[in-house]
Amino acid sequence: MADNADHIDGDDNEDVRAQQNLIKIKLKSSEGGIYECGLTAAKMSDLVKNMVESLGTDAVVTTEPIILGNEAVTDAALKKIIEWVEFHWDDPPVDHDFEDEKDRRNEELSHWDKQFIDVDDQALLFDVIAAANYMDIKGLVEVGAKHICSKIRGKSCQEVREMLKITNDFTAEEEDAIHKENAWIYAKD
Amino acid sequence: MAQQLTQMMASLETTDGCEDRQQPKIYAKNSMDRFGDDLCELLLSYLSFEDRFQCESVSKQFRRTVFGSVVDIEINDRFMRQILNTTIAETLATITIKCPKIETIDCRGIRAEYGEHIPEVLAIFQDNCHNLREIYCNLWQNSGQTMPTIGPLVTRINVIDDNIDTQLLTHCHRLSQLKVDGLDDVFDTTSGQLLTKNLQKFELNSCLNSDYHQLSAFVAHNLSLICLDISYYTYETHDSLTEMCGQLSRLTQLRDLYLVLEVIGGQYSLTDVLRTIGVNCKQLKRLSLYIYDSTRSKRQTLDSLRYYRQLKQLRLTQFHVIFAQIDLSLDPLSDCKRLTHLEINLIGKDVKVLIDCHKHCPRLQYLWIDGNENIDTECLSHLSRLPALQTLVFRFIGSNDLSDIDFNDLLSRSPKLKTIEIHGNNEKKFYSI
Repeated sequence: MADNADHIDGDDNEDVRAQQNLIKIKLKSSEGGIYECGLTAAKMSDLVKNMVESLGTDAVVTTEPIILGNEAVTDAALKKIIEWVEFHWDDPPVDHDFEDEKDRRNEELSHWDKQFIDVDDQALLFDVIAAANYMDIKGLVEVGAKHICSKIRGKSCQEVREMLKITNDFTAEEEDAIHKENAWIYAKD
Repeated sequence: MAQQLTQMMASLETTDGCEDRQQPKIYAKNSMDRFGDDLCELLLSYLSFEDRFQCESVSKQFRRTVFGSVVDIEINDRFMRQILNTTIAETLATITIKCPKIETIDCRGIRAEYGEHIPEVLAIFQDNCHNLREIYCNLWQNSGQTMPTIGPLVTRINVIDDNIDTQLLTHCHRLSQLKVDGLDDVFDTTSGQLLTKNLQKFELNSCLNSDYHQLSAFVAHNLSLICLDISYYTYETHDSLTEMCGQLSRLTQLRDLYLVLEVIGGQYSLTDVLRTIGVNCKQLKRLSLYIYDSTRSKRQTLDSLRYYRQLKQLRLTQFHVIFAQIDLSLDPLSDCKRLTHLEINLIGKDVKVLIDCHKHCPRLQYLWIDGNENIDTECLSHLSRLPALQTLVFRFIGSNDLSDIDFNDLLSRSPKLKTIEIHGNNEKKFYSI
């Protein structure tokens, strides 16, 4: 009995996850490229997870690839996404004893994630974020969001527009009015 | 102005929604304009409070989405300085219209200097934030004005001023987290009555032998404590420390304990201290120990860690340098089968302690080591056997002979290791798979 009490629930689960990640499934981009990905890693996408669960694992492994039809899921974006889930699938789950949602939001990105998301090609960066959003990979959308917000930090509106290629659809008067409402942030510190 | 603003913000939402439905636009792939409002709001939700206002006029989409995710705000000295340069009431009204979902206000970052304006600021927030549920604050000299009104919302308090009337704590029925300097602060100065009960988290900067009776009374009415951060100073005997630990060990709900023990004189036994707490506080999942001992009279061991069977995280990093009399061994951790997170200080220690670390800590995912020249390739070789280790952090003060090749070799040999971080004097270095 004493041995049973000491049994750690997570162990079996971790083994199953590792075993399952040896199973490779195929993912197809909107451009037609087909890429292999470990099953556990691929299931970090809630979209893929739901498909696998409704089709059954055997069907997914032996038959056609899973089609990711959203146009953001280009070949290049899908390759990046597979790289990310293959690195993160065995991350320890969030431990609610020590960490809540807010702590996680405020946590700095890891060194690996920073390098991963620091993509020069902004079209690709936005494809990865939009594709991760479509595939419902919350952790990766968060990495993209933290990256974008860190780039916005401390920049003027005009600099933000230029960097993120955003069209200014305000008139000069409207912009002025907002500036006045937010006068407090320009107060001398 | 505030009323105009409400109308304008409302009209902004409706007209734009219609435009989108009528004529979907094609956006450049490298333009953030391509994202819908939901994704845009999610992405911008990681901006700081001030950056959100700074960015509001980037585009109409930013204006629609940048404030939607604001649920908690932090009021600090900088914010106070900024709004004091404007008409406070108008500025705060504008802010609360833009951020209608504020649920929590944390103003513990404000120093006494701005204390006189706090009642006014909190009153405006309380009137305008219809979803406000919690306030975290300090006790200031003028808290007597506000506490009767905001008290029911206050759930976390720091007492930062020695001369404050802590009687005000009785207004806060929902108080769950409290930080004080001494136990005196939680007792009425005249009647001696306990002022706070059923806390979940308590930080006590200084606890002395003479506080024993107060500690006993406090513990009796706060058995609900989950997290305790306590610094205990003793100049006396074995007995006082045993009594203190006896009190702490009544807190059976405790999950997280940060214990500072400063012992001067006497023949106490760390083994006994740790056993009393470990045997009784069966839920403890994180233990952080800081031990300062100038007795030098007795060798101490950490054997009693074997009683902490639910422990997930253990921090033994902060032994004071004087405290060289401790026999560090990982053996007792074999009984802490859930341990995933360990921080240890190996400065001046024999790294033989790491031999068989994989047998003692097979589930370890995170390891932090303070060390220097004693960390060598043999030591890395012991670490490479840890079967579940994913993150390894070294803090090196001074130099050693290890090179990039050694760390990359460790990465390739360890089954699960993904990242090695080296914290040097002024820089951080990373190795990743």
